[in-house]
Amino acid sequence: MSDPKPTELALLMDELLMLFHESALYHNQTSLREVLQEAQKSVTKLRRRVLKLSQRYVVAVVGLTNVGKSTLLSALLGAELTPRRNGPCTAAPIEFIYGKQLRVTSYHRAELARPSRQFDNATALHDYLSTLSEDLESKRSASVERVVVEAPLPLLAHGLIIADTPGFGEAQGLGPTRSDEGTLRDYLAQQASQVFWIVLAEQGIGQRELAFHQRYFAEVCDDLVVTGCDDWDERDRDRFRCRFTNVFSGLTPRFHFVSGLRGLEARRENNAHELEAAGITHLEQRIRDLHDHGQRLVNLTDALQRLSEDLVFWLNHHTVTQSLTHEGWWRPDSWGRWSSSLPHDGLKQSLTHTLKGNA
Amino acid sequence: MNMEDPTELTSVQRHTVQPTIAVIGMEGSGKTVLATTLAKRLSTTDANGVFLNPQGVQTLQYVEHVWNTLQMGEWPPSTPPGELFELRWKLQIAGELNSDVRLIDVAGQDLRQLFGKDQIDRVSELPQHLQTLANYCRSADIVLFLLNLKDFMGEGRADQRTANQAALKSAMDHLGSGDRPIRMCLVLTQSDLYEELAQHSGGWLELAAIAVPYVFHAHVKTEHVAVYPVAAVSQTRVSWMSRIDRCVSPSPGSDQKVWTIWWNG
Repeated sequence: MSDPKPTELALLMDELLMLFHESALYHNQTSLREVLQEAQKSVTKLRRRVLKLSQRYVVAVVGLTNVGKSTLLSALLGAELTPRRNGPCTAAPIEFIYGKQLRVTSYHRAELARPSRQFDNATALHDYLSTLSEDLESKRSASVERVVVEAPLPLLAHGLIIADTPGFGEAQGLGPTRSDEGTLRDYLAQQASQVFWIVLAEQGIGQRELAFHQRYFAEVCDDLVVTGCDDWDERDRDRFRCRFTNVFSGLTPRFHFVSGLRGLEARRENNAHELEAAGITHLEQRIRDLHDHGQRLVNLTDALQRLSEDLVFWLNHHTVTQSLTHEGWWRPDSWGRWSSSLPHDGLKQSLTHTLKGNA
Repeated sequence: MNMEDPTELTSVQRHTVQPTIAVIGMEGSGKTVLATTLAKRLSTTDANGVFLNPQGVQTLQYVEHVWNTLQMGEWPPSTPPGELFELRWKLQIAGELNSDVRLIDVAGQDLRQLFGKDQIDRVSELPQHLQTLANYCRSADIVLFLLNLKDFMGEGRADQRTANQAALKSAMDHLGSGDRPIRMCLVLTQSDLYEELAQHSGGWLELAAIAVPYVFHAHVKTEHVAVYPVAAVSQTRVSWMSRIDRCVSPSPGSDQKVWTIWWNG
């Protein structure tokens, strides 16, 4: 099967959305309607990612305050640049991109000037970032939209951008809460290609976090990173998975169990074995895989095919009692539109075959 | 012209018949889009010498306005209930025919109110706009009933499907039973969406029999009412109105695909 171009894939997803959307409206049976709406949500999520295929690739790391984001980021990046944002701080995300020199540039709302500073060493840069993120009194600081840190870090060498975001607690707990929360929300909606959600093992996933996830980044989050589980064995991890898998409506993210602290120590000692044992190597590889443009396109087409198969599997098993054949699943004119709207090649042909009941 | 077509005019009829054509249909059936697309297509004399000559400023402006709306990738807005808007053309076929074409753009709700509740027999008691609509239908020689099959096959609510068919049948019953003979045609709009289904059903007549069985058996089959599939807009695309809402919009292009409409004299 030849892979479609991003623009073709976007059009195909639009047509699939119409098919699911109109067919959901067409049916009176609640469960059938709901499952088609669920499928719609999943396509919407994938559709959003297609748009981002041609944009810069930003992995945003999000989580509550004090869940070990800074430590994890330092272990991942292999450099201790990220400021610890445990107290009140600005809501501006900090982006790490590849650069030959150490440099920090601030981007302000409604301002042309982009103040930039160069540094000789990581400690000086780290200290500057700490000052910048805690400088709450300054009006200029409050207008910062994002801070970009350039550094010669191997993980970022091929255009990957990793963004450190302030904890939800910080973003929500500050003065004009709405605007701070708005900064983070806008950033996640407009800039983040993928979100890695960090939770602390002992805290699990609370209602507040879950609400934040659903509201702001569920569509771009496939990965949940559990920190602070150094002493957990496989059974503990399974227990955690079982406990929280069902709290997600829609697709459940992958669970990664890591130790940022152990990973950071391993980085300092240049110990590859320990880095792997801390789960950092695996996480790093996952980020690299997600960053690969061709692979992302393949992942999206695979996800679309899998979704169609899952949907048809459900339809096959749950509509048999109503004597509803595949012709009855789809609103007739919507199916006609789907059939005639785009050329029947590659993915379209395969999806059509599946949606005709061949799961 | 297709010499095999039984509905074709004889050369004598061409010179003597001056039929008035009325176009009616429910909301969203595509009256405005079809009329505009035809009007634009025939706004200059075509190879067969056919010319649709707008009568008056209003018709010309209306066609241009709707056409520009379509070219911008949007559908023209639905006509609000209670409003009645008349467009007039002269259909001219070089030296042979000079016929009135009138299109009354009415809200589909009004059509349902007039025909769906058996009110047509008490016309004088109805609001003025419904009286005008009734007179318009009665005075025509040919009535084109525009049907978007989504109101029948694509309508999930059985009650609504029944109401739509009842209104259509009632209109055809009424117009077919008057003293003056009125030719009727069923025009299936957005037919590109139903081509596969029509093929699967054995043809357009068979599809009409499935979609509107009462109408089919009462009129199409027994009175030989013609059925024509039409697609006025060749391409549409899915538009995103917001992050989650989307709709299908016309996609601008010059390749407008329209079937020729024939009629009996």
